[in-house]
Amino acid sequence: MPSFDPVRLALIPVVLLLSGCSTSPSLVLFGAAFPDWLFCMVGGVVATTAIHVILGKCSLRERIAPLALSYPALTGLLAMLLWLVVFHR
Amino acid sequence: MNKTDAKPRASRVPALLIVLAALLLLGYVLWQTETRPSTDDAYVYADTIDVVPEVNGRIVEMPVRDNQWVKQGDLLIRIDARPYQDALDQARARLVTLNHQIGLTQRSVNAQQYEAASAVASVERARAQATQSNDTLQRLEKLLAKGYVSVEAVDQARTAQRSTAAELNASRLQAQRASAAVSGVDALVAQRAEVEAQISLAELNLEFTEVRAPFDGRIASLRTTVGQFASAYKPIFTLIDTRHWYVVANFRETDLKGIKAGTTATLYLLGDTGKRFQGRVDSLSFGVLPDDGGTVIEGLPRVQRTINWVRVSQRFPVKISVQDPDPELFRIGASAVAVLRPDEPAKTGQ
Repeated sequence: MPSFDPVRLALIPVVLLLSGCSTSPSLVLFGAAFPDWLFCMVGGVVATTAIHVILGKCSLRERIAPLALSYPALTGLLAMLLWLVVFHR
Repeated sequence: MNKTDAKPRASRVPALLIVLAALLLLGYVLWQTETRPSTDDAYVYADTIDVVPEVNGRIVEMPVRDNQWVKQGDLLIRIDARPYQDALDQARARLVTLNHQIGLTQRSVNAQQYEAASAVASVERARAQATQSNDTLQRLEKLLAKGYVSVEAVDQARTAQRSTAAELNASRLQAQRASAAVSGVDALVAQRAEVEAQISLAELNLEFTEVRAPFDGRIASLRTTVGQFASAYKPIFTLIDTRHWYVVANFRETDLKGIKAGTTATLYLLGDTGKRFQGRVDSLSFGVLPDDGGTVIEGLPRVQRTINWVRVSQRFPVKISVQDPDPELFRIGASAVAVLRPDEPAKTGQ
């Protein structure tokens, strides 16, 4: 599974930085409180976009084909990982 | 070509692994959110009391300001005490008057008692006289048979005997009348208890002119000042009990399984989401007003014809007691987020 390594490697420092840190399930932005899952979904989409760009530069995109299946799954996976790391507990 | 054919077949495995990992993580996340229910439909709550004077009067002193923090026993309101002081003085003076009156009446009672004693003594005198005239009569009657005395002398002795007997009877009755006429001070002494009760009532009213804080708390909605006429039982302002803070969180009925008093909770305030507070479930609500059903119109229950295919679960307030609240952050009505942790032992913390 060589294609997993960039993702895993990128996540390790994040996990180390944020482990133990837990934030309120609602975050205040511009005077309103937004639910945690909204931030996680945005984060998942951004991270997947970054991975998409990185994989494109390394010409590794076809390794995780079919993209219609792997990208939504990757987005969900990253969003949930973000939730576990930042908002869980 | 052979290489390009092999590549897509091999590269399906990572995609499937990603999907599998995502599904596993989804299961874990769902399990976590089920076991640790959270809600942002929550607000901060504390008990409040209306600060109410118990006596009427003009407010002459009010050493507190709106939103001020006060300690237990601090003076909140002082009402003009003069009328109540006067009432107390009046009641005390009445007690002094009554005490003197009791003394005077006691003296006349003593006189009546002496009078009764003298009436009893005069009964003895009358009895002695009656005995003597009785003896004289008997003696003369014996002599009459022998003819030593005249019939007239015997008649006189009999008259004297009857007269002294009647006198004895009269003096007995007089003694009874005199002893019955002895009055007492009991009624006045009973009045003393009444006046003493009036004094303590006046003292209480005087004490009520000072309204003091019954606990540590914070003043709220104070909209008046010195000079205002305060009517008894009409609230002047509100006092928030800052000793105990609560978060009332409305949880879905589906989340309430396994939640009971003592369940640990983590609380956040939107005023500062960086700070987290520990809490403990104080109690769960056992009643909310149902949206549909329960209404009776013209004597019959009203039932809607429509029915929802998807039913949104009812929310019930769960009262969570906050441990170590930040006094600067906790305000009644502040938005809060509550996460319940029924999986954690309830004995941690305190």
